[in-house]
Amino acid sequence: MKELLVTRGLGLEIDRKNIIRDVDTSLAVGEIKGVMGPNGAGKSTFLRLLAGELCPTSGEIALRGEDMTSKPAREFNKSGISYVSQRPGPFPDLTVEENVRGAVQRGSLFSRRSVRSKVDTLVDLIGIQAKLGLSARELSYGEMRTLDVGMALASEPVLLLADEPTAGVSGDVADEIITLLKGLCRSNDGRRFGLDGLIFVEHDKGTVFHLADRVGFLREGRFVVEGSPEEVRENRAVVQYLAEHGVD
Amino acid sequence: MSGGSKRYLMKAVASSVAVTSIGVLPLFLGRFQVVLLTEVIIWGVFALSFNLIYGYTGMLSFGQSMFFGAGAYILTYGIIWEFGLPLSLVMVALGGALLGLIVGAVAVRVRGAKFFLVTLVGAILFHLIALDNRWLTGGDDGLLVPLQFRGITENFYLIYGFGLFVGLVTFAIVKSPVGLVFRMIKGDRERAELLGYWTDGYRILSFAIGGAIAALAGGLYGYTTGFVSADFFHWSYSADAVVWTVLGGSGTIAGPFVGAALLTFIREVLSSTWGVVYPVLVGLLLVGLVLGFPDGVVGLLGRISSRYSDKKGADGG
Repeated sequence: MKELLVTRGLGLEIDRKNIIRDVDTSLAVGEIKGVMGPNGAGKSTFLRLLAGELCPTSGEIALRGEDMTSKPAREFNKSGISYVSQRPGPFPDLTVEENVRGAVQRGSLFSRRSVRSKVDTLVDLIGIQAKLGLSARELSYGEMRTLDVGMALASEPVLLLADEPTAGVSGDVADEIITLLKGLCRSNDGRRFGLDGLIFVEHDKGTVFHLADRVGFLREGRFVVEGSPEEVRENRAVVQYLAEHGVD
Repeated sequence: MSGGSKRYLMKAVASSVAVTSIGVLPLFLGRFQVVLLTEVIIWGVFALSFNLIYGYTGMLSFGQSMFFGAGAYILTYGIIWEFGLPLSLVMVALGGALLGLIVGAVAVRVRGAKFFLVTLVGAILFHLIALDNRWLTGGDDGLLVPLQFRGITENFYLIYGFGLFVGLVTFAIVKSPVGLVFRMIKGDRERAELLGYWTDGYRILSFAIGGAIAALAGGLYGYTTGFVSADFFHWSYSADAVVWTVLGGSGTIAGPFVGAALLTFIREVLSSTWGVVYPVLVGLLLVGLVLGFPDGVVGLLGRISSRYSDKKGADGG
């Protein structure tokens, strides 16, 4: 299977503490990967490394064979990696429309028509038409998370990294976000904003096993087990973790 | 009409009325007041240059006096070398932009408090260099701008036209796609970087545009007073721009002009009676505004007007 993303020996050391240790993993084209693990395991840090927000102290990251390791964060975005961070990311003083336009216009700064058409498509996709004139700070938490996903899709990425995209949002909105992400990865009709891959971190184990093709269980900065949801469910460390967190 | 469009229309009408009123004021004012009004417009343009860098791009720079002084001297030498006023002003804008590019390229390498210090040290350095190089700047004694003065009213309308032009250009910039990136950087620079923008490049661009505007203000001030000196580089000019902008309302086009007008008015009223009270009053005013109304006078007026229109809307239906 063709690899979209590969990491080799990826590590991050801060103040002599290994946050991420020697991670070798990969994501195939069309694959959805869920990352789970206890608090402080390094899940968010792992995604921030893949997004270029943090620079690894060892190892390498390659997207479609291109070495990304020492590139700045903006180059990750330009190469097709987009990131939904754990905290809501819209610019609070800008309107919803300006947030979307700001995310869309990079690369076609002065092509108003193309930007307009892309904004309209994206706004339809995330269903936020009625709120366009509001400032982002006036949105509910769930709407902010939906806007985050929309803004991350604006650059038409091949790979989306989502850090707990449904954390703190109500069940209905969480379902909408999951359905949206799954739809974008599963459509093979060349639709706009379709993704070649998704890596997400999620605390809700139900969501992880439901959405992911492959699951990785991270502990102390290292993948203890990686495999299909069924394989991971049967792993002893995971069983123990799930039992401690009250998940059957 | 939606609430947003109504507010936008109200703003446009209020701005047009204010701009027109200022334009006809010389017909009713004495010579001294017209000179003062001319000065206020120049200070407003100068503060607007700082506002673009701070209010729209989020960089607290104390370096605007570098561009102000440079603009004044470029204009003076343009006139001395007989380029004429229009061409000299073009040279002033280009020189200010070039200096802005250079200063910006250095300043954006540092973050937070260091950024503020680098720009402040830059301003102090420029002042010292200007004082030391008397052959070029005339030092404290300065140089005369060898251009025949047009008369107080004619000069007012020249500066008024320039102020209007610079205000409209700045408005167009902040509403453009580039201006949107400036505002994104002010909101969250790292987030803008993650969205694929080379934020340092945009911050340098903001410095270049701000540098061009500040240099124009310096050039116009030199032209109006007929004299330039090394003191034009003094960092206290940068501090004035900060105070006017914060007081009037950063992140708005009108704010710097309102702040400059308000403080010039207070200074003139108090200087003849209680000159000592002026700095204390300004200090108290600033502390009160920053604590109570961080959006400045224009922000406060905007809040009052939107509360009024919301109330009216609710009463009406």
